[in-house]
Amino acid sequence: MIFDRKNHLAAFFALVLLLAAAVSAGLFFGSETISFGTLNETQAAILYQIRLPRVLLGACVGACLAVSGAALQALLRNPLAEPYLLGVSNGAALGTMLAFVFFAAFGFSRPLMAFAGALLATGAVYRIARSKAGMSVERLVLSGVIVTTFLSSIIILLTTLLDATRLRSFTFWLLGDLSQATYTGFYLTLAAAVIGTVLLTSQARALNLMMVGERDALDFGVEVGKTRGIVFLTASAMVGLSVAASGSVGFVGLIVPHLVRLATGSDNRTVLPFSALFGAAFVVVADTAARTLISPRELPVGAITALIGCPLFIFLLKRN
Amino acid sequence: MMLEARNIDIDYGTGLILEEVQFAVRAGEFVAVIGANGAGKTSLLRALNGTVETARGEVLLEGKELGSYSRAQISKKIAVVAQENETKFPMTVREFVLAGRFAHGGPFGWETEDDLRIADRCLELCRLEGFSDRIMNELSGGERQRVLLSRAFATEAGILLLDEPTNNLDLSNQALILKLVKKRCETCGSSALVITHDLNLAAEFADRALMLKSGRIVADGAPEDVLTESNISKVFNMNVLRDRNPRSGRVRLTPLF
Repeated sequence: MIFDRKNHLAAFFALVLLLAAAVSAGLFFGSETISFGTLNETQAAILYQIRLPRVLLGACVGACLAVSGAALQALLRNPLAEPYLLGVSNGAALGTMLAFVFFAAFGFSRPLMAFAGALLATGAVYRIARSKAGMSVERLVLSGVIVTTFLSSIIILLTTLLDATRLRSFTFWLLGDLSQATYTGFYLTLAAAVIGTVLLTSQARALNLMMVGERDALDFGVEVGKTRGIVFLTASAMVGLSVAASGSVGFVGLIVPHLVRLATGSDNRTVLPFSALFGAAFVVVADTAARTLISPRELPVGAITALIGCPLFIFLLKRN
Repeated sequence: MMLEARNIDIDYGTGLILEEVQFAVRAGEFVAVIGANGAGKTSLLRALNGTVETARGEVLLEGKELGSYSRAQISKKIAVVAQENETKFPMTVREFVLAGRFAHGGPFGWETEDDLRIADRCLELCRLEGFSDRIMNELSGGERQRVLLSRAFATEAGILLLDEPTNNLDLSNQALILKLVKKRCETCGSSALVITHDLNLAAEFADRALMLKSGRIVADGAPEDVLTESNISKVFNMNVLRDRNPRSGRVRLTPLF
Protein backbone atom coordinates (compact mmCIF):
# COMPACT_ATOMS: atom_id res chain seq x y z
CA MET A 1 0.00 0.00 0.00
CA ILE A 2 2.78 2.38 0.87
CA PHE A 3 3.86 2.77 -2.72
CA ASP A 4 0.76 4.23 -4.13
CA ARG A 5 1.28 7.78 -3.00
CA LYS A 6 -1.30 9.22 -5.34
CA ASN A 7 -3.88 6.98 -3.71
CA HIS A 8 -2.77 8.25 -0.33
CA LEU A 9 -3.25 11.83 -1.35
CA ALA A 10 -6.69 10.95 -2.69
CA ALA A 11 -7.57 9.14 0.52
CA PHE A 12 -6.35 12.12 2.53
CA PHE A 13 -8.58 14.55 0.64
CA ALA A 14 -11.51 12.15 0.79
CA LEU A 15 -11.14 12.06 4.57
CA VAL A 16 -10.89 15.86 4.77
CA LEU A 17 -14.11 16.08 2.74
CA LEU A 18 -15.75 13.49 4.97
CA LEU A 19 -14.78 15.50 8.04
CA ALA A 20 -16.10 18.72 6.47
CA ALA A 21 -19.38 16.96 5.64
CA ALA A 22 -19.64 15.57 9.16
CA VAL A 23 -19.00 19.01 10.68
CA SER A 24 -21.62 20.68 8.46
CA ALA A 25 -24.15 18.01 9.28
CA GLY A 26 -23.36 18.45 12.96
CA LEU A 27 -23.94 22.18 12.68
CA PHE A 28 -27.24 21.98 10.81
CA PHE A 29 -28.92 19.03 12.50
CA GLY A 30 -30.12 19.04 16.08
CA SER A 31 -33.23 19.62 18.11
CA GLU A 32 -33.40 22.97 16.30
CA THR A 33 -32.70 22.49 12.58
CA ILE A 34 -30.73 25.38 11.13
CA SER A 35 -30.58 26.27 7.46
CA PHE A 36 -28.40 28.81 5.68
CA GLY A 37 -29.40 32.44 5.28
CA THR A 38 -32.37 32.48 7.63
CA LEU A 39 -30.66 32.80 10.99
CA ASN A 40 -32.68 34.61 13.62
CA GLU A 41 -31.07 35.66 16.87
CA THR A 42 -31.85 32.45 18.78
CA GLN A 43 -30.61 30.31 15.94
CA ALA A 44 -27.39 32.32 15.69
CA ALA A 45 -26.85 31.88 19.41
CA ILE A 46 -27.47 28.14 19.16
CA LEU A 47 -25.14 27.86 16.20
CA TYR A 48 -22.21 29.92 17.50
CA GLN A 49 -22.47 29.49 21.27
CA ILE A 50 -23.57 25.88 21.55
CA ARG A 51 -23.31 23.86 18.39
CA LEU A 52 -20.09 25.15 16.85
CA PRO A 53 -17.88 24.62 19.94
CA ARG A 54 -19.52 21.26 20.52
CA VAL A 55 -18.95 20.00 16.98
CA LEU A 56 -15.38 21.32 16.89
CA LEU A 57 -14.61 19.83 20.29
CA GLY A 58 -16.09 16.51 19.18
CA ALA A 59 -13.82 16.50 16.13
CA CYS A 60 -10.71 17.17 18.25
CA VAL A 61 -11.65 14.57 20.86
CA GLY A 62 -12.23 12.01 18.11
CA ALA A 63 -8.86 12.77 16.55
CA CYS A 64 -7.05 12.53 19.90
CA LEU A 65 -8.64 9.23 20.92
CA ALA A 66 -8.25 7.58 17.52
CA VAL A 67 -4.60 8.55 17.04
CA SER A 68 -3.54 7.59 20.55
CA GLY A 69 -5.37 4.27 20.18
CA ALA A 70 -3.62 3.57 16.87
CA ALA A 71 -0.20 4.43 18.32
CA LEU A 72 -0.71 2.36 21.47
CA GLN A 73 -1.84 -0.64 19.42
CA ALA A 74 1.33 -0.50 17.36
CA LEU A 75 3.54 0.11 20.39
CA LEU A 76 2.02 -2.76 22.37
CA ARG A 77 1.66 -5.07 19.37
CA ASN A 78 -1.85 -5.60 20.55
CA PRO A 79 -4.66 -4.92 18.08
CA LEU A 80 -7.10 -4.72 20.98
CA ALA A 81 -5.15 -2.12 22.97
CA GLU A 82 -6.54 1.30 23.56
CA PRO A 83 -6.23 4.13 26.10
CA TYR A 84 -8.73 2.42 28.40
CA LEU A 85 -6.79 -0.82 28.51
CA LEU A 86 -3.74 0.98 29.85
CA GLY A 87 -5.69 2.92 32.46
CA VAL A 88 -4.86 6.21 30.75
CA SER A 89 -8.52 7.17 30.41
CA ASN A 90 -9.36 6.20 33.96
CA GLY A 91 -6.40 8.15 35.27
CA ALA A 92 -7.65 11.17 33.38
CA ALA A 93 -11.19 10.59 34.62
CA LEU A 94 -10.03 10.40 38.22
CA GLY A 95 -7.97 13.57 37.78
CA THR A 96 -10.95 15.38 36.30
CA MET A 97 -13.17 14.13 39.07
CA LEU A 98 -10.80 15.36 41.78
CA ALA A 99 -10.78 18.76 40.08
CA PHE A 100 -14.56 18.63 39.81
CA VAL A 101 -15.02 17.83 43.51
CA PHE A 102 -12.32 20.02 45.02
CA PHE A 103 -11.52 22.88 42.63
CA ALA A 104 -14.81 23.29 40.76
CA ALA A 105 -14.30 27.05 40.52
CA PHE A 106 -10.96 26.96 38.72
CA GLY A 107 -11.51 26.49 34.98
CA PHE A 108 -8.14 25.12 34.00
CA SER A 109 -7.99 22.60 36.83
CA ARG A 110 -9.96 19.98 34.91
CA PRO A 111 -7.64 19.58 31.92
CA LEU A 112 -4.56 19.99 34.11
CA MET A 113 -5.65 17.36 36.61
CA ALA A 114 -6.80 15.06 33.80
CA PHE A 115 -3.40 15.31 32.11
CA ALA A 116 -1.70 14.68 35.45
CA GLY A 117 -4.00 11.72 36.12
CA ALA A 118 -3.37 10.22 32.68
CA LEU A 119 0.39 10.66 33.10
CA LEU A 120 0.39 9.15 36.58
CA ALA A 121 -1.70 6.20 35.43
CA THR A 122 0.63 5.62 32.47
CA GLY A 123 3.64 5.99 34.73
CA ALA A 124 2.20 3.55 37.26
CA VAL A 125 1.41 0.99 34.57
CA TYR A 126 4.89 1.41 33.15
CA ARG A 127 6.58 0.99 36.55
CA ILE A 128 4.51 -2.05 37.48
CA ALA A 129 5.06 -3.66 34.10
CA ARG A 130 8.81 -3.15 33.99
CA SER A 131 11.00 -5.92 35.31
CA LYS A 132 14.68 -6.73 35.13
CA ALA A 133 14.28 -8.71 31.95
CA GLY A 134 12.54 -5.79 30.24
CA MET A 135 8.86 -5.21 29.68
CA SER A 136 6.78 -7.85 28.00
CA VAL A 137 3.57 -6.97 26.23
CA GLU A 138 1.58 -9.33 28.45
CA ARG A 139 2.90 -7.81 31.66
CA LEU A 140 2.08 -4.34 30.42
CA VAL A 141 -1.46 -5.19 29.45
CA LEU A 142 -2.07 -6.94 32.77
CA SER A 143 -0.72 -3.96 34.69
CA GLY A 144 -3.07 -1.77 32.69
CA VAL A 145 -6.03 -3.87 33.70
CA ILE A 146 -5.02 -3.73 37.38
CA VAL A 147 -4.48 0.02 37.37
CA THR A 148 -7.77 0.57 35.55
CA THR A 149 -9.64 -1.51 38.10
CA PHE A 150 -7.96 0.28 40.99
CA LEU A 151 -8.76 3.72 39.57
CA SER A 152 -12.36 2.70 38.86
CA SER A 153 -12.90 1.79 42.48
CA ILE A 154 -11.51 5.15 43.64
CA ILE A 155 -13.86 6.89 41.21
CA ILE A 156 -16.79 4.93 42.61
CA LEU A 157 -15.72 5.83 46.16
CA LEU A 158 -15.49 9.50 45.24
CA THR A 159 -18.97 9.56 43.70
CA THR A 160 -20.36 9.07 47.21
CA LEU A 161 -19.12 12.60 47.93
CA LEU A 162 -21.35 14.06 45.20
CA ASP A 163 -24.88 15.30 45.73
CA ALA A 164 -27.67 13.91 43.54
CA THR A 165 -27.58 16.58 40.79
CA ARG A 166 -23.83 16.53 40.43
CA LEU A 167 -23.84 12.73 40.54
CA ARG A 168 -26.18 12.62 37.56
CA SER A 169 -24.14 15.02 35.46
CA PHE A 170 -20.96 13.21 36.48
CA THR A 171 -22.35 9.82 35.49
CA PHE A 172 -23.34 11.29 32.14
CA TRP A 173 -19.85 12.73 31.74
CA LEU A 174 -18.20 9.42 32.67
CA LEU A 175 -19.94 7.82 29.69
CA GLY A 176 -18.65 10.50 27.36
CA ASP A 177 -20.59 13.71 26.96
CA LEU A 178 -19.91 16.69 24.70
CA SER A 179 -22.77 18.88 25.93
CA GLN A 180 -20.49 20.93 28.23
CA ALA A 181 -18.35 22.05 25.27
CA THR A 182 -16.61 25.42 25.57
CA TYR A 183 -14.26 27.26 23.25
CA THR A 184 -11.50 26.96 25.88
CA GLY A 185 -11.91 23.19 25.90
CA PHE A 186 -11.89 23.22 22.12
CA TYR A 187 -8.66 25.23 21.83
CA LEU A 188 -6.87 22.98 24.33
CA THR A 189 -8.03 19.79 22.65
CA LEU A 190 -7.25 21.21 19.21
CA ALA A 191 -3.68 21.91 20.30
CA ALA A 192 -3.43 18.38 21.71
CA ALA A 193 -4.86 16.88 18.51
CA VAL A 194 -2.56 18.76 16.14
CA ILE A 195 0.68 18.59 18.15
CA GLY A 196 -0.03 15.03 19.27
CA THR A 197 -0.73 13.76 15.78
CA VAL A 198 2.47 15.32 14.46
CA LEU A 199 4.54 13.92 17.36
CA LEU A 200 3.09 10.43 17.05
CA THR A 201 3.44 10.45 13.27
CA SER A 202 7.10 11.35 13.76
CA GLN A 203 7.40 7.93 15.42
CA ALA A 204 5.47 6.13 12.67
CA ARG A 205 8.48 4.48 11.03
CA ALA A 206 9.75 3.32 14.41
CA LEU A 207 6.27 2.04 15.30
CA ASN A 208 6.17 0.09 12.03
CA LEU A 209 9.15 -1.88 13.31
CA MET A 210 7.85 -2.14 16.87
CA MET A 211 4.64 -3.70 15.56
CA VAL A 212 6.75 -6.72 14.68
CA GLY A 213 8.57 -6.86 18.01
CA GLU A 214 10.65 -4.77 20.40
CA ARG A 215 13.73 -6.94 19.97
CA ASP A 216 13.33 -6.74 16.23
CA ALA A 217 12.98 -2.99 16.38
CA LEU A 218 16.14 -2.69 18.49
CA ASP A 219 17.99 -4.91 16.02
CA PHE A 220 17.05 -2.69 13.13
CA GLY A 221 17.98 0.60 14.71
CA VAL A 222 14.95 1.89 16.67
CA GLU A 223 15.66 3.64 19.98
CA VAL A 224 12.85 1.64 21.55
CA GLY A 225 12.88 3.39 24.93
CA LYS A 226 12.68 6.81 23.34
CA THR A 227 9.82 5.86 21.03
CA ARG A 228 7.94 4.25 23.92
CA GLY A 229 8.41 7.37 26.05
CA ILE A 230 7.21 9.72 23.32
CA VAL A 231 4.16 7.60 22.57
CA PHE A 232 3.19 7.22 26.25
CA LEU A 233 3.62 10.93 27.03
CA THR A 234 1.84 12.13 23.90
CA ALA A 235 -1.02 9.65 24.22
CA SER A 236 -1.45 10.58 27.90
CA ALA A 237 -1.70 14.26 27.05
CA MET A 238 -4.13 13.65 24.20
CA VAL A 239 -6.33 11.31 26.21
CA GLY A 240 -6.10 13.51 29.32
CA LEU A 241 -7.26 16.65 27.55
CA SER A 242 -10.00 14.75 25.72
CA VAL A 243 -11.35 13.17 28.88
CA ALA A 244 -11.26 16.50 30.72
CA ALA A 245 -13.36 18.09 27.98
CA SER A 246 -15.79 15.31 27.22
CA GLY A 247 -15.43 12.33 29.54
CA SER A 248 -14.59 8.83 28.46
CA VAL A 249 -15.84 8.40 24.91
CA GLY A 250 -15.20 4.72 24.36
CA PHE A 251 -14.39 2.57 21.34
CA VAL A 252 -13.09 5.40 19.18
CA GLY A 253 -9.47 4.39 19.76
CA LEU A 254 -10.28 0.82 18.90
CA ILE A 255 -12.66 0.99 15.95
CA VAL A 256 -11.25 3.89 13.96
CA PRO A 257 -7.67 2.61 13.57
CA HIS A 258 -8.99 -0.84 12.64
CA LEU A 259 -11.19 0.52 9.89
CA VAL A 260 -8.32 2.66 8.62
CA ARG A 261 -5.99 -0.37 8.62
CA LEU A 262 -8.58 -2.41 6.73
CA ALA A 263 -8.73 0.27 4.06
CA THR A 264 -5.09 1.32 3.73
CA GLY A 265 -2.91 -1.36 5.33
CA SER A 266 -0.89 -1.27 8.54
CA ASP A 267 1.74 1.37 7.70
CA ASN A 268 1.61 3.81 10.61
CA ARG A 269 2.66 6.70 8.41
CA THR A 270 -0.83 6.55 6.92
CA VAL A 271 -2.70 4.88 9.79
CA LEU A 272 -1.88 7.65 12.29
CA PRO A 273 -2.87 10.78 10.30
CA PHE A 274 -5.81 9.03 8.64
CA SER A 275 -7.06 7.86 12.05
CA ALA A 276 -6.99 11.47 13.24
CA LEU A 277 -9.21 12.64 10.39
CA PHE A 278 -11.53 9.65 10.44
CA GLY A 279 -11.77 9.67 14.25
CA ALA A 280 -12.74 13.34 14.15
CA ALA A 281 -15.52 12.67 11.62
CA PHE A 282 -16.64 9.57 13.52
CA VAL A 283 -17.17 11.38 16.83
CA VAL A 284 -18.89 14.35 15.18
CA VAL A 285 -21.37 12.01 13.46
CA ALA A 286 -21.87 10.00 16.65
CA ASP A 287 -22.52 13.15 18.66
CA THR A 288 -24.96 14.45 16.06
CA ALA A 289 -26.81 11.17 16.41
CA ALA A 290 -26.66 11.47 20.20
CA ARG A 291 -28.31 14.90 19.98
CA THR A 292 -30.99 14.04 17.44
CA LEU A 293 -32.04 10.41 17.99
CA ILE A 294 -34.34 11.06 20.97
CA SER A 295 -34.45 14.85 20.63
CA PRO A 296 -35.16 17.06 22.51
CA ARG A 297 -33.48 14.76 25.03
CA GLU A 298 -29.86 13.69 24.62
CA LEU A 299 -27.78 10.56 24.90
CA PRO A 300 -24.15 10.57 26.02
CA VAL A 301 -22.00 10.34 22.89
CA GLY A 302 -20.05 7.49 24.49
CA ALA A 303 -23.19 5.36 24.43
CA ILE A 304 -23.55 5.98 20.69
CA THR A 305 -19.92 5.21 19.89
CA ALA A 306 -20.22 2.00 21.90
CA LEU A 307 -23.48 1.13 20.11
CA ILE A 308 -21.81 1.59 16.72
CA GLY A 309 -18.48 0.22 17.87
CA CYS A 310 -19.42 -3.03 19.57
CA PRO A 311 -21.25 -4.76 16.70
CA LEU A 312 -18.66 -3.52 14.21
CA PHE A 313 -15.92 -4.85 16.42
CA ILE A 314 -17.56 -8.26 16.78
CA PHE A 315 -18.02 -8.34 13.02
CA LEU A 316 -14.32 -7.57 12.48
CA LEU A 317 -13.30 -10.17 15.00
CA LYS A 318 -15.51 -12.83 13.37
CA ARG A 319 -14.37 -11.95 9.88
CA ASN A 320 -10.76 -12.65 10.75
CA MET B 1 38.65 -7.42 13.07
CA MET B 2 35.06 -6.62 12.28
CA LEU B 3 33.57 -7.75 15.53
CA GLU B 4 35.34 -8.73 18.68
CA ALA B 5 34.18 -9.98 22.07
CA ARG B 6 36.63 -9.32 24.89
CA ASN B 7 36.06 -11.38 27.99
CA ILE B 8 32.34 -10.82 28.09
CA ASP B 9 30.08 -12.02 30.90
CA ILE B 10 26.31 -11.89 30.83
CA ASP B 11 24.27 -12.07 33.99
CA TYR B 12 20.47 -11.91 34.01
CA GLY B 13 20.54 -11.95 37.81
CA THR B 14 20.33 -15.73 38.07
CA GLY B 15 23.99 -16.59 37.65
CA LEU B 16 26.31 -16.14 34.71
CA ILE B 17 24.80 -16.99 31.33
CA LEU B 18 28.03 -16.24 29.53
CA GLU B 19 31.48 -16.36 31.09
CA GLU B 20 34.71 -14.87 29.79
CA VAL B 21 33.79 -15.29 26.17
CA GLN B 22 36.51 -14.07 23.88
CA PHE B 23 36.75 -14.31 20.12
CA ALA B 24 36.90 -12.16 16.99
CA VAL B 25 35.19 -12.43 13.63
CA ARG B 26 37.12 -11.52 10.49
CA ALA B 27 35.69 -10.16 7.26
CA GLY B 28 34.21 -12.82 4.99
CA GLU B 29 34.16 -15.44 7.71
CA PHE B 30 31.23 -17.85 8.17
CA VAL B 31 31.20 -18.90 11.82
CA ALA B 32 28.90 -21.63 13.14
CA VAL B 33 27.94 -21.36 16.80
CA ILE B 34 27.26 -24.75 18.32
CA GLY B 35 26.10 -25.83 21.74
CA ALA B 36 23.33 -27.47 23.73
CA ASN B 37 20.07 -25.67 24.47
CA GLY B 38 20.67 -23.08 27.16
CA ALA B 39 24.41 -22.91 26.54
CA GLY B 40 24.16 -19.15 25.98
CA LYS B 41 24.26 -19.02 22.18
CA THR B 42 21.38 -16.61 21.73
CA SER B 43 22.59 -14.44 24.60
CA LEU B 44 25.99 -14.25 22.93
CA LEU B 45 24.40 -13.11 19.68
CA ARG B 46 22.34 -10.52 21.56
CA ALA B 47 25.43 -9.20 23.34
CA LEU B 48 27.23 -8.86 20.03
CA ASN B 49 24.73 -6.32 18.72
CA GLY B 50 24.22 -4.68 22.09
CA THR B 51 20.60 -5.70 22.67
CA VAL B 52 21.60 -7.53 25.85
CA GLU B 53 23.89 -5.88 28.35
CA THR B 54 27.18 -7.42 29.27
CA ALA B 55 28.05 -7.59 32.94
CA ARG B 56 31.75 -7.49 32.22
CA GLY B 57 34.04 -7.19 29.23
CA GLU B 58 33.42 -5.32 26.03
CA VAL B 59 32.30 -5.81 22.46
CA LEU B 60 34.29 -4.00 19.80
CA LEU B 61 32.72 -3.17 16.45
CA GLU B 62 35.38 -2.19 13.92
CA GLY B 63 37.72 -1.50 16.80
CA LYS B 64 35.38 0.82 18.71
CA GLU B 65 33.31 -0.03 21.75
CA LEU B 66 29.74 -0.98 20.87
CA GLY B 67 28.39 1.48 23.44
CA SER B 68 29.81 4.40 21.46
CA TYR B 69 27.43 3.68 18.56
CA SER B 70 23.76 4.60 18.37
CA ARG B 71 21.21 1.84 17.68
CA ALA B 72 20.84 3.11 14.12
CA GLN B 73 24.60 3.09 13.55
CA ILE B 74 24.87 -0.45 14.89
CA SER B 75 22.05 -1.70 12.70
CA LYS B 76 23.76 -0.32 9.61
CA LYS B 77 26.73 -2.56 10.42
CA ILE B 78 25.12 -5.59 12.07
CA ALA B 79 21.97 -7.28 10.79
CA VAL B 80 20.05 -9.93 12.68
CA VAL B 81 17.86 -12.84 11.69
CA ALA B 82 16.24 -13.64 15.01
CA GLN B 83 14.11 -16.62 15.83
CA GLU B 84 10.56 -16.50 14.56
CA ASN B 85 8.50 -13.42 15.29
CA GLU B 86 4.80 -13.36 14.63
CA THR B 87 3.30 -10.38 12.88
CA LYS B 88 0.05 -9.43 14.54
CA PHE B 89 -0.95 -6.80 12.02
CA PRO B 90 -1.31 -7.69 8.34
CA MET B 91 1.87 -6.59 6.63
CA THR B 92 3.13 -7.09 3.11
CA VAL B 93 6.46 -8.73 2.38
CA ARG B 94 7.83 -5.50 0.94
CA GLU B 95 6.79 -3.47 3.99
CA PHE B 96 8.51 -6.05 6.17
CA VAL B 97 11.75 -6.07 4.18
CA LEU B 98 11.85 -2.27 4.12
CA ALA B 99 12.28 -2.36 7.90
CA GLY B 100 15.85 -3.23 6.99
CA ARG B 101 16.16 0.29 5.58
CA PHE B 102 14.95 1.98 8.77
CA ALA B 103 18.35 3.18 9.92
CA HIS B 104 19.05 4.71 6.51
CA GLY B 105 16.12 7.15 6.59
CA GLY B 106 14.90 10.04 8.74
CA PRO B 107 11.96 9.87 11.12
CA PHE B 108 9.41 11.31 8.69
CA GLY B 109 8.94 10.52 5.06
CA TRP B 110 8.88 7.54 2.81
CA GLU B 111 11.53 5.19 1.57
CA THR B 112 13.56 6.49 -1.34
CA GLU B 113 13.71 4.86 -4.76
CA ASP B 114 17.05 3.49 -3.63
CA ASP B 115 15.51 1.79 -0.61
CA LEU B 116 12.82 0.22 -2.78
CA ARG B 117 15.36 -1.00 -5.31
CA ILE B 118 17.55 -2.52 -2.61
CA ALA B 119 14.57 -4.25 -0.99
CA ASP B 120 13.45 -5.70 -4.31
CA ARG B 121 16.96 -6.86 -5.15
CA CYS B 122 17.30 -8.60 -1.78
CA LEU B 123 13.96 -10.35 -2.30
CA GLU B 124 15.16 -11.50 -5.70
CA LEU B 125 18.42 -12.69 -4.21
CA CYS B 126 16.45 -14.85 -1.78
CA ARG B 127 14.34 -16.21 -4.65
CA LEU B 128 11.23 -14.31 -3.69
CA GLU B 129 10.44 -12.55 -6.97
CA GLY B 130 6.78 -11.66 -7.12
CA PHE B 131 6.30 -11.92 -3.35
CA SER B 132 6.36 -8.17 -2.62
CA ASP B 133 2.64 -7.76 -2.14
CA ARG B 134 2.01 -11.05 -0.37
CA ILE B 135 0.88 -10.87 3.27
CA MET B 136 3.48 -12.05 5.79
CA ASN B 137 1.11 -14.28 7.75
CA GLU B 138 0.19 -16.24 4.63
CA LEU B 139 3.72 -17.40 3.82
CA SER B 140 5.13 -20.87 4.39
CA GLY B 141 7.89 -21.34 6.95
CA GLY B 142 10.59 -21.46 4.30
CA GLU B 143 9.33 -18.37 2.49
CA ARG B 144 9.03 -16.50 5.76
CA GLN B 145 12.57 -17.30 6.76
CA ARG B 146 13.82 -16.12 3.39
CA VAL B 147 11.93 -12.86 3.91
CA LEU B 148 13.72 -12.44 7.26
CA LEU B 149 17.00 -13.03 5.47
CA SER B 150 16.07 -10.50 2.76
CA ARG B 151 15.38 -7.94 5.47
CA ALA B 152 18.80 -8.58 6.99
CA PHE B 153 20.44 -8.26 3.56
CA ALA B 154 18.52 -5.04 2.93
CA THR B 155 20.39 -3.32 5.76
CA GLU B 156 23.58 -3.78 3.70
CA ALA B 157 25.33 -4.54 6.98
CA GLY B 158 28.67 -6.28 6.79
CA ILE B 159 27.98 -8.54 9.74
CA LEU B 160 25.10 -11.01 9.87
CA LEU B 161 23.94 -12.66 13.09
CA LEU B 162 21.57 -15.55 12.49
CA ASP B 163 19.81 -17.39 15.29
CA GLU B 164 18.91 -20.90 14.16
CA PRO B 165 17.93 -19.77 10.66
CA THR B 166 17.34 -23.33 9.46
CA ASN B 167 15.03 -24.31 12.32
CA ASN B 168 11.82 -26.02 11.18
CA LEU B 169 12.73 -25.74 7.52
CA ASP B 170 12.65 -28.51 4.93
CA LEU B 171 15.87 -29.86 3.47
CA SER B 172 15.99 -27.64 0.42
CA ASN B 173 15.15 -24.47 2.34
CA GLN B 174 17.84 -25.24 4.94
CA ALA B 175 20.39 -25.56 2.16
CA LEU B 176 19.09 -22.49 0.34
CA ILE B 177 19.30 -20.24 3.42
CA LEU B 178 22.85 -21.26 4.24
CA LYS B 179 23.94 -21.06 0.60
CA LEU B 180 22.60 -17.51 0.41
CA VAL B 181 24.48 -16.54 3.57
CA LYS B 182 27.64 -18.23 2.35
CA LYS B 183 27.41 -16.45 -0.98
CA ARG B 184 26.99 -13.15 0.82
CA CYS B 185 30.19 -13.83 2.74
CA GLU B 186 32.08 -14.74 -0.41
CA THR B 187 30.84 -11.99 -2.72
CA CYS B 188 30.41 -9.05 -0.32
CA GLY B 189 33.04 -9.90 2.26
CA SER B 190 30.33 -10.05 4.91
CA SER B 191 30.88 -12.07 8.06
CA ALA B 192 28.19 -14.34 9.41
CA LEU B 193 27.68 -15.82 12.84
CA VAL B 194 25.15 -18.63 12.57
CA ILE B 195 23.68 -20.54 15.47
CA THR B 196 22.72 -24.03 14.41
CA HIS B 197 21.90 -27.37 15.93
CA ASP B 198 22.64 -29.17 12.70
CA LEU B 199 26.28 -30.19 13.04
CA ASN B 200 26.49 -31.47 9.49
CA LEU B 201 25.28 -28.18 8.05
CA ALA B 202 27.89 -26.46 10.21
CA ALA B 203 30.57 -28.80 8.89
CA GLU B 204 29.53 -28.20 5.28
CA PHE B 205 29.16 -24.44 5.31
CA ALA B 206 31.23 -22.95 8.11
CA ASP B 207 34.80 -21.72 7.86
CA ARG B 208 35.02 -21.88 11.59
CA ALA B 209 33.04 -23.36 14.45
CA LEU B 210 32.58 -22.00 17.95
CA MET B 211 31.46 -24.47 20.56
CA LEU B 212 29.75 -23.28 23.73
CA LYS B 213 29.11 -25.19 26.92
CA SER B 214 27.41 -23.60 29.93
CA GLY B 215 28.35 -20.12 28.80
CA ARG B 216 31.98 -20.82 28.03
CA ILE B 217 33.73 -21.40 24.74
CA VAL B 218 35.09 -24.94 24.82
CA ALA B 219 36.36 -25.12 21.26
CA ASP B 220 37.07 -22.59 18.52
CA GLY B 221 38.60 -23.39 15.18
CA ALA B 222 38.09 -25.11 11.83
CA PRO B 223 34.93 -27.25 11.86
CA GLU B 224 36.88 -30.46 11.51
CA ASP B 225 39.00 -29.62 14.54
CA VAL B 226 36.02 -28.60 16.63
CA LEU B 227 33.57 -31.33 15.62
CA THR B 228 35.45 -34.21 17.18
CA GLU B 229 33.87 -37.21 18.89
CA SER B 230 35.24 -36.16 22.26
CA ASN B 231 34.03 -32.53 21.98
CA ILE B 232 30.58 -33.64 20.95
CA SER B 233 30.31 -36.16 23.71
CA LYS B 234 31.45 -33.46 26.16
CA VAL B 235 28.90 -30.89 24.98
CA PHE B 236 25.92 -32.99 23.96
CA ASN B 237 26.44 -36.19 25.96
CA MET B 238 26.03 -38.15 22.75
CA ASN B 239 28.27 -40.50 20.89
CA VAL B 240 28.67 -39.91 17.19
CA LEU B 241 30.20 -41.74 14.29
CA ARG B 242 32.59 -39.41 12.50
CA ASP B 243 33.51 -39.87 8.88
CA ARG B 244 33.67 -37.69 5.79
CA ASN B 245 31.10 -36.78 3.21
CA PRO B 246 32.48 -38.56 0.13
CA ARG B 247 31.40 -35.74 -2.17
CA SER B 248 32.48 -32.63 -0.29
CA GLY B 249 35.21 -34.17 1.82
CA ARG B 250 33.78 -32.36 4.85
CA VAL B 251 33.35 -33.95 8.26
CA ARG B 252 30.14 -35.95 8.61
CA LEU B 253 28.59 -36.93 11.91
CA THR B 254 26.02 -39.62 12.57
CA PRO B 255 24.57 -39.84 16.07
CA LEU B 256 24.67 -43.26 17.70
CA PHE B 257 21.60 -44.00 19.77
